[in-house]
Amino acid sequence: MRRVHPLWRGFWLAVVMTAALVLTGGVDWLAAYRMDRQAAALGAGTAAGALLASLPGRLLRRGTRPARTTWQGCLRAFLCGCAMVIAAAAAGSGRILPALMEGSAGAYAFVPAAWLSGCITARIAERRARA
Amino acid sequence: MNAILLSGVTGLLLGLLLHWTGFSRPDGLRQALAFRRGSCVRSALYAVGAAMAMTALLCWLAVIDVDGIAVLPLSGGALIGGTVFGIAAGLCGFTPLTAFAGLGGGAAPEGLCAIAGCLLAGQLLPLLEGPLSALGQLPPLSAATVFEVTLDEPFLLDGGFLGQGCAGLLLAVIAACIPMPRPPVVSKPDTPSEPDPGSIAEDVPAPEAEPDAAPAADAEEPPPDPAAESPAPLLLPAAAPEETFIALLPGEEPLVVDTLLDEPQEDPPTSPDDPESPAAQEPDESPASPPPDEPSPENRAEP
Repeated sequence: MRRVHPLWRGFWLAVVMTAALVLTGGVDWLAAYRMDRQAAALGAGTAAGALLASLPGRLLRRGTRPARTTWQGCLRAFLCGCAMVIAAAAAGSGRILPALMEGSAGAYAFVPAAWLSGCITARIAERRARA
Repeated sequence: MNAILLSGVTGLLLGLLLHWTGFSRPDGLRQALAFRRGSCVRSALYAVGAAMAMTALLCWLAVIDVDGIAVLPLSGGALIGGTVFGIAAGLCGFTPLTAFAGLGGGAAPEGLCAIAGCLLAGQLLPLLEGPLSALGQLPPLSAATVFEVTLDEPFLLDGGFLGQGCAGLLLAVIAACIPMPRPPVVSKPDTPSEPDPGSIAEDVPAPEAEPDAAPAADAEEPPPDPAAESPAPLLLPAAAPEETFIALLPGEEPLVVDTLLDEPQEDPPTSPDDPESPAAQEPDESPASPPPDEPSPENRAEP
């Protein structure tokens, strides 16, 4: 997969997302964090899949030091996790991408707003990190 | 039981693809949000567009029952929630789904903390139900879907599944038109803006800070062919090892030093195909540097 074109990766991601929509009703991660068993299984499978995909790279880079983790980064991740769940609950559902695929108007508003504010935030954070 | 197993298998495939796309690391999502990493942006936009088109096709073929579609209505809560969601995702580099991928894909502490935060907020949501529902009713808008894809929900535009599929295809075409980033050019020898003598390009990105799939994806497209007369620019690949640095000396060719070797190579990297290179004109006969075919005295196998 290392040499696969990004559009091919996007295509396979689309196939899996559509399969998830057809087979399981879509990825509802808000239900996963409310301890719904089916959604929690999807989350656990996601973690296992990422672990499986990262194994070759980890074996090749054995001996190199891992990326640094700071407690500020962990605290930020914790607080941002809380904020994201509350934001999705304010929008009305955790099925944002399935709703976008199905043509819901709320998802058409949610995703561009999230991308725009995320772009501004990431660029500001990048500039502050350089300074 | 079958539904849980099916969800687990789907999640496994999703985790594999999220890692290969580069979203299992905080930097991947942050750079994709900021339009810095072209391959991630292309993959994400193309995935969303192609999934929209595929879903429209499946709805048109009646594989997906449109009566079972759970519509997310347009409201002020969607706009405010999306804004807050984007700010949080840009700060921490995860979404609630990619936090699972980060947990397994190399950013375990941050991913675990993000999941813990999501779990805590998920348990606290019943306490916030009143304010959040009021936020969802903020501007009373009646549109539920953009195109007419359901039987009874209000919609904004005509077009049905065809319009929905065309919107997805448009997004996919936009994703395909996003230019890929080129490898960074550190400096050009013999240019007016030469660096200081003896300056060392030390800002080679560390390999452990990048996901193992994304750097190669960024460097997939070949760099532009340099002109034959002009000197070739010095390119630093994103996956260059941390122990390699490049010294730029005035009037000399760039010197690449790999500190991992026991005997540092003092000759600049030259290709044997180049007729003007010293490696092609005369073979290296010094005993201190044996030819690459022969093993060094230390590495030679003992009988």
